[in-house]
Amino acid sequence: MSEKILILVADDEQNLLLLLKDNLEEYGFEVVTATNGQEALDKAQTITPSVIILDVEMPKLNGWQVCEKLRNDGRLKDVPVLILSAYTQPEDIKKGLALGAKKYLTKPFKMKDLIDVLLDLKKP
Amino acid sequence: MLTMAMILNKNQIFVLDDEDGVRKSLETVLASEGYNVKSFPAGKELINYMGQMSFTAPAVALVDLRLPDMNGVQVMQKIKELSPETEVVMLTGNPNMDSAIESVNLGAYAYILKPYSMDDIKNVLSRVLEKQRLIRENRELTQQLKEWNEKLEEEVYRRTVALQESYTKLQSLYEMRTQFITIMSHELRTPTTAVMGFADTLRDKWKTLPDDKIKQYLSVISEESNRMVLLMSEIFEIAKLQEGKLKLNLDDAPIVPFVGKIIHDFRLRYPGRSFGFTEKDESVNVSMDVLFLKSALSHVLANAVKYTPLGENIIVFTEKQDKNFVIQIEDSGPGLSRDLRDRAFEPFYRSMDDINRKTPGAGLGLTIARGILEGMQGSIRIEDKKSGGSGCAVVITLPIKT
Repeated sequence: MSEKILILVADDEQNLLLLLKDNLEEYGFEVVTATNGQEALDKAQTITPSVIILDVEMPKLNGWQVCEKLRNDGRLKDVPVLILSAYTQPEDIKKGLALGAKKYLTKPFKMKDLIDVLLDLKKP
Repeated sequence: MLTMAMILNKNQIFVLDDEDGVRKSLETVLASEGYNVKSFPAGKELINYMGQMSFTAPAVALVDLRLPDMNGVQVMQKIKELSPETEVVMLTGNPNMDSAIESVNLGAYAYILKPYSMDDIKNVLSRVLEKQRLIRENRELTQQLKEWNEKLEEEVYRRTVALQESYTKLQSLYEMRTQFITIMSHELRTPTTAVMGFADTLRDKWKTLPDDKIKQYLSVISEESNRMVLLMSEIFEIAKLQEGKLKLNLDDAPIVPFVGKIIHDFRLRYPGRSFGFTEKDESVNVSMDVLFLKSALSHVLANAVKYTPLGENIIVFTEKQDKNFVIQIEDSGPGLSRDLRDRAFEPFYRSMDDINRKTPGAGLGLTIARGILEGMQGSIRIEDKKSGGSGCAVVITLPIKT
């Protein structure tokens, strides 16, 4: 009985959270959602997920800020972060990776690509 | 006594000779040539005359080199001192040229040997006058050139400043455009992601998904498609406004019932909010394009609805103010700090606005409304509420037609 992989998904678009939650759960992941950056940070500290998926444009704290705070959190700094954003410019991607994200996917994305990346990030 | 800088009179000639006959004959001949001749028998008399406060500076002075009271060269030097531009021509009866040549070295224009013919005198005079004319012209041209130069420098400076200004303006327009496209692409990607994601999900899993999920996903697809259509039509409107291609069909029409009709529509569409509005001043006409003005007011009202919680009020005031008709729309939302009030009219402003991101619309409504109202010589701005409390007052003015 392998334990389910726990994924925290933060996005301020309810419809995108629904899309991610339903598809990832159906695939077999366990999913916790957050609708803003602060909530994402709080929940990450409580549940210590295996992977964190972050949108960039979010209220309270944006994805960049959450990413930075996670990198400076002793307990969470090794949890891989995947940025999933509608910002598609090369400088956005560079910025995300520089802030410590392991992967950067642009919206719109294919669910299969996202799942492949999640499985890859989960590998020890 | 030194005289002020003088203007030469080109007709004035001084004659200085102690011989009456010489003076008389020169006076007669030169007067017949059109000159104004003043003659002196002694050097002192001439110097005294030039020492007066006002005298006419001669173009030429004909001076005898040997005078009873003083040396002609001294007189010449005195004349040059008092009127530097007067040319002095020496008359000499001495066959020894030394003193004549010396006088030229010291500043005389020329010397003429006695006995002379009147033609000699006339020739020298016309040469002197020609020289003075050229000097005068040269001076005038130099002055004109200097003035032109100054004007040119001024003009070049003015144009340079204007060019720099328009360059800065163009650059900021270009940056705005780039930013607009970046944000627009971002805003389109969000609904596209939902539509694509759920469409793929339905395609791959429709056989196993429960009916309520299928229905939910289809609703999301429908909702997000609507959002894309709304965004595209707003972008299209903005593009037309920005290119100045907005064609308004203006007609004078009563504004109050027009506003009343739109508010009536909103009351039906949003029964959860109360719209306060009393029709008065029904006779006021403004020049309006009915469709576009309706679009502008609807954008502002939709915005007010967006920021007003369910059960709260939106109040619309109308009044005549001087030559303008004012429509003030007040919401019960969180309000907008003064420094952000102008930015609310920038395209996609809402995108940066964290508080109400969950409401539909692309953040182009106020930009469009401003474009339309300015096209009708009106204006739109955000102010404090008259009715007090939190929220925004959007103030619209339109010129009254009489």
